[in-house]
Amino acid sequence: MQLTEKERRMEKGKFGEAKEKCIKIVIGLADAYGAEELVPISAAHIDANSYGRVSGDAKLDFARKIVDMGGEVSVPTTLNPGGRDIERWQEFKLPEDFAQNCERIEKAFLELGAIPTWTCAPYSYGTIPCKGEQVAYAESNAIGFANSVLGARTPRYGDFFEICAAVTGRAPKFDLHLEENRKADLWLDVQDPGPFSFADDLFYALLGYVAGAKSGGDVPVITGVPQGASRQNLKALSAAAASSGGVGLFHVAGVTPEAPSLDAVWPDGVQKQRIEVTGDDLMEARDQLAFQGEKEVDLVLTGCPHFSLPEFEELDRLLAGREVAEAVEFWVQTNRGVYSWVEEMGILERLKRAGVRVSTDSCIFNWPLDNWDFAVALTDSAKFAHYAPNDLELDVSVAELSDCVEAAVSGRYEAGGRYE
Amino acid sequence: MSKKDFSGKFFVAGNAKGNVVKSERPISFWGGLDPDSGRIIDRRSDVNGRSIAGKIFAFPEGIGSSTTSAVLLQAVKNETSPVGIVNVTTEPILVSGALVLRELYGVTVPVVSIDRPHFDRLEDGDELELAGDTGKVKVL
Repeated sequence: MQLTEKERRMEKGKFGEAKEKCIKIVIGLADAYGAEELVPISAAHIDANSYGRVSGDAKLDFARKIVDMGGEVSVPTTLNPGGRDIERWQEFKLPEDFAQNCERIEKAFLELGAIPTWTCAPYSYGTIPCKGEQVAYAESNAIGFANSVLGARTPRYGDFFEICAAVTGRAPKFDLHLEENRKADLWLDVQDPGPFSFADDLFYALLGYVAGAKSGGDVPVITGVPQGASRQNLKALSAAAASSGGVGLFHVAGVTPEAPSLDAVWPDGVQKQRIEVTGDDLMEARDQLAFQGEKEVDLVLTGCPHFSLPEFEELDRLLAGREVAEAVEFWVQTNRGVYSWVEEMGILERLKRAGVRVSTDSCIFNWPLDNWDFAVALTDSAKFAHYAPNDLELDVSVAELSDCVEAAVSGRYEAGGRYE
Repeated sequence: MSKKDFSGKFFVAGNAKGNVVKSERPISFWGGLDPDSGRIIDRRSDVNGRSIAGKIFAFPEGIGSSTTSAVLLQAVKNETSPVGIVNVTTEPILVSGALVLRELYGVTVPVVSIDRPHFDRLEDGDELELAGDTGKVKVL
């Protein structure tokens, strides 16, 4: 492999132990995939700071190791949600010892020199990469969004590797860093979304869920989606496709930046095979993410990935001054940037009055929920509905945000409802 | 005596021996593997409820969350990790997790991909040897 003089010196430990260990891991991955050289990156997004119930100790341990070796990031590096809402963890009844561990890992990552964004939606504010920019991202939904919607370039990096890339400023020149690997592997065509509408957020979440299942780790190009799909729509698509599959890049012809058309992303000399995505496929995805019949709802969870400003405006409009039912908790997860805007805009005050709890910095998947008694949850997120049955042992349904709001007000949700 | 052996692409070299737990479905370790018990906890998985601790875990490809490598490290720390991993398509997420184990924790979990026909012939419970030095996978 071709290494620059600087990279070779890094490998020999001339820039300290942290850079030495980290570049060895970067070179190890480059070797494993036959990359001929490394590529400089201009930004990174870290997932490994999410102190959680499941692998928190491993993450804390790794971060401390790098910091104690004198490691610090060498490119602007954003951080994923941590384990707790730093301001309001007591309101969400997180145990004190858990909060203390969260504080330790937060400290380690600040010592590493990362930016305290604490969000899984680093594309909503902060350091937003441009088309063609080489970055190293972890957090599956952010990877999909950065590649597909922004046109930045990152493979699906995992925990710890993104730290190694951030510390060294290097990544293997392979996979989605390279133009030739960004062409489509399969073509999904949506002509008729059945009971769903191209205007519904849920349609995009379900389309993502179907696309992920059909694509595995391949790159799909989707046709049939009308121009005008919003960032919220594409966020839902990205998060879902990275849950049911390992999709790091998708193209939506006429919508995403690298795909002005199907032909623009279809590899030369390869026969096109159209795979139709039908209303039945979308309905099947929805059924996989829904419970049966009518249930009393304990928790309505939204903001997975973190709620954006337009989503807050929509929620405010849908609630229309009504209150959340006594027996229901309505939680919205977001980041501090968006939080500060909705606070100034007066939206936050209205939501609070309605009984909605808004959290920042964090993610329910990291939280011990022992102090809550939740059995049934409703969400507008396919990602949440995919992971929560296993991870949080909740009975979950995915639904339109408007249905989530109605259920929060009435306390009940009938899963079949509008589609029958 | 080896029944059969064939070449594999070792993404992380190393030697390991163990019985195969074989899944036909893609999996994400985050939400799919409980590092406290070493058991698969994904209801969509065909090996849900099985322990992969001390086993060679064979599954076609990784999907989902990028937290997979942290779950692998946590499993190693809890001594519930598989001793080796066999895929058809190996994701960088998994490889980088195993590289971190090697460079910073001195633990080797070899990760190897084999072609589809060999994967299809692999049976649950087979005793398997992964030999990173020769690049061979042996069914014992």
